[in-house]
Amino acid sequence: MTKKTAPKKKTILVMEDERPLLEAIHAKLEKHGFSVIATRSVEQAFNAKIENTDVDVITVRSIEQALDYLERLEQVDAVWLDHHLLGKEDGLDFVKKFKANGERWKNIPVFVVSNAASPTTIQSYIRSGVSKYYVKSDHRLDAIIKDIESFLEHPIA
Amino acid sequence: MNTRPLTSASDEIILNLKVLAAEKESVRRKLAVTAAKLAATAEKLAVTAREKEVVRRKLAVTAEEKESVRRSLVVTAAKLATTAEKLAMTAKEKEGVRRKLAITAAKLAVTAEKLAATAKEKESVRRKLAVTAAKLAVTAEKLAATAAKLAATAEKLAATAKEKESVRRNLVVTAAKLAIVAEEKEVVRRKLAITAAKLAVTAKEKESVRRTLAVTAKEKETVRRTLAITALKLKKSYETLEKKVLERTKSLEMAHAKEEAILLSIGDGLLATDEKGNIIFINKAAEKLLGQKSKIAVGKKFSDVIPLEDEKGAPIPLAKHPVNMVLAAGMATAALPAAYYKRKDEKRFPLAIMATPVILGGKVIGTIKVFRDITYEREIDKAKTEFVSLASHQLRTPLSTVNWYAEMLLAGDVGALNEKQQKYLDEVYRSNQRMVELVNALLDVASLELGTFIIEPEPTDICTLTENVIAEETPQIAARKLKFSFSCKKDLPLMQADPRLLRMVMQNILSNAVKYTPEKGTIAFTITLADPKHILMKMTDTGYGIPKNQQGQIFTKLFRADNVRDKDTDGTGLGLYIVKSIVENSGGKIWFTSTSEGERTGSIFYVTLPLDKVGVPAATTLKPH
Repeated sequence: MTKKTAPKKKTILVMEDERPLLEAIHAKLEKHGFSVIATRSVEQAFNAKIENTDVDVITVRSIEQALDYLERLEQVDAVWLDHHLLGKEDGLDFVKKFKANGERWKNIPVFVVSNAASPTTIQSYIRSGVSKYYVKSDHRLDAIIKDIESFLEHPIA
Repeated sequence: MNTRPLTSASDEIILNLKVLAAEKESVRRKLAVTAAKLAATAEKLAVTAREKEVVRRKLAVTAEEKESVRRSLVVTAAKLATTAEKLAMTAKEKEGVRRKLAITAAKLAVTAEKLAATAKEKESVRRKLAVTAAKLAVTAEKLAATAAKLAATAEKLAATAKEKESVRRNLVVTAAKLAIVAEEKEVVRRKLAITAAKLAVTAKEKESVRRTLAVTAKEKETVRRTLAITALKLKKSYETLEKKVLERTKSLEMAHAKEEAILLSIGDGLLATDEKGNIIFINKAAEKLLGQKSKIAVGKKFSDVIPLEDEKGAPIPLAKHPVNMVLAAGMATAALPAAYYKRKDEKRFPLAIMATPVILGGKVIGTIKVFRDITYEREIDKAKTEFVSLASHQLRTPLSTVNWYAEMLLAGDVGALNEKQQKYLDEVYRSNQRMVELVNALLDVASLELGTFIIEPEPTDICTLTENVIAEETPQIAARKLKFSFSCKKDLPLMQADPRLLRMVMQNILSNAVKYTPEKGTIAFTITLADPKHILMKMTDTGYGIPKNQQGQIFTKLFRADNVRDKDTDGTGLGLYIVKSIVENSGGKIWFTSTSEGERTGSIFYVTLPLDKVGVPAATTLKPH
C-alpha cells in the first residue's frame, strides 16, 4: 500500500548498535519502500556512503572528513536513532552535532527508537529537538514505521 | 358788707374750700355718670350693629342658597334641553313634549332670573346696613375717646393719694429692715453654736487616732521579733545550701566533663553555634572531617570557617546555610541535601548536614549541626540508578529482537506461514509481549523501591492525561466489545503531579478493568472531586470480581487472584502494587468493593489523590511489601 503511494523513494538514516535489530529495521523499512543507510555509530553516520546500504564499519580519519560527509546527509529525509551506539558517542551526541549545523538539517526529523527509557534521557532528546521518542520494546516495528510515514507526509502534525 | 360776725377768717376759708371740694366732687360724679351713659349708648349701638350684621349675613346666605337653586335650575334646564334635543331627534310625537319642556325650561330660566334680581336687591339692602354700622362704629370711637380723657383726670386725683401711701410704705420698710438686722444676729449666733459642736467632734477624732497609733506600735514590735527569728533560720539554711552547692558543683563538673567527652567522641561531625552563628563547640570528628582545629574555629562564624558549595562548585548563599535557615527562618530542622565542602587539602566531598535549633525557655539560643561525609552513600545511589537503567536496556533489547522478528514472520514478510506455524508463533509473540510488560512493571517497581524514580511534579490536566490513557486502551476495549463510558468533572483544577506516575495509576486501573471484564461487559470511569483538595477516581466494571478470600492480598506484589489466572488472562501481579505505592506515598487512598460470585459480578475501584502533590514525597520512603 505504502509502496504505491510513495512517488519517490525516501532515504532514512538508521543508527542502531544491535546487529539483529538493525537488520530487522533495515528489512522492514525497505519493505515499506524506504531507501536505507544503516549505521551502528555516530562516526559511521557522518561517514556513510549515500549509495551504500550495507552496514560495514567505515572508520573516520579526521573531523574535517566527518563534516565533509555530513554535507551529503542533505539527501536524508529522516533519521532513525538509537540511544546506545557503538563507540564513545551516543545518540544524544549525534543529535547535538546534527542540530549544531543549524539551518541545513533543521527540517530533517529525528526519531529516537531506544530502550534507554529513563525520563531524563527522553527529556534530553525532546529538548534537543527530536521529533519523537519510541520505547523499542513497547512498539511494533510496523507501527513505528507507519508513524514515521505519516509524519513525513504531514510534517509538524 | 358782710353782716355775719367774723368768727374767724380761717373758718371762712375752710368753709369755702369745703364748698369747693364738694362742688368738684359733684362735677366729677356727674361726669362719671355721663361717661357711663355714653358707654351704655355705645354698647347698645354696637349690639344693634351686630344684629344688623347677623341679618345681613342671613340675607347673604339666603341669596347664596337662591343662587345655588338658580344654578341647579340652570343645570337642570341645560339637561332638559339636552334631553329635549335627544327626544326631538327620535320621534315627532316627542316633539310636543320637547316643546313643553322647552317652555318649562324658559319659565325656569325666567324664575331663575327673578331670583337673581331679588338677590341683587337684597345685596343693596345689605350694603346700606353695612354703611350704617360703619357710622355707628365711628360714633362709638368718639365716645370711647371722651371716656379715656375722663379716666385720665380720675388718675391724676388718684396720684395724690398714692404719694401719701408711699410715705406710709417707707415707714413700713424701715421697720422691716430693723427686723432683718435682728434675724442676721440670730444667724451669727447659730453659726457659733455649730462651730462649737464641730470642735467637740475634732477632739473625739484626735483621741481615736492616738489609740490606733498605740496599736500599730505593738504590731511593729511583733514583726520585728518575727524577722529576727527568720533571719536566724535563713542563716542556718544558707550554710546548709552552701555545703550542698559545693557538693553539687563537684558532681556537675564530673558530669560536664563526661558529657564533653561524649560530645567530643561522637563519630559524626558535631558543631554548635550561639544564636548569632558563632561557633562555640566543635568535636573531634568535625575537626578531622573539616580539617579545622577547634581552637582556631571557636568564636568564628560558621559560614567563614566552613564555606559550602553546591554540586557544581558554586558557593551556597548564606541564607541557604543550614545555620541561617534555622536561625532566620525559625525552622525546626534543616537538612541540606547537596552541600559540598572542600577541605584545605583540596579534598572535596559531599556533606549531609542536619541543623537543629537549641531552644531554652522558648528562645533559640544557638544551633547544633551534625554532619558526615556521604561520599559512600552517593556512590551507592549512583550504582542503583545505573543498575536500573542498565537492566532496563539489557533486558529490553533481546525482548525487542524477539518481538520484531516474530512480528515480521507473522506479517508474512518472508513468506506465508501455515496455520500451525502461525499459531505457535502467535504464542511466542504473545508470551514475549507479556515478558515486556513484566519487565516494564518490574523496572517500575525497582525504581520506586530503590528511590531512583525521578519525580518531577508539574501542573497536570488530569482529564487530558486520562483521555490519552483511554485512547491507548481503546483497541483492547473495542476488541472485547465493552461498553465504556468516561466522565471527567469540568473545570477541575490542574494537579501538581508527576505525569508519569499519574499515568501509571490511571493506566493500571483502566487496563485491569478492561482485562478482567468479559466480552460485552460495561466499564464506567469517572473523575470528580472528593473534596476541594482531592480528586476521586471511580472505576466500575462488570468484570470477574475478586474472590472474597483473596481480597486481602490483592495489593501484594506479584499476587494474582485464582479466578483470573483460571481465565487465562494476562497480567503481572504488579499493577495494583505499583498503584497503591504511588497513591499512598502521595497522600492518597485506594480501596475497592468487589463481588466474584452470583449473577452480578464486578468491582468498583476508588482512588483519591491530593491535587497538590502527586509524587511529591521522596520516593525513597517507599518500602517493599
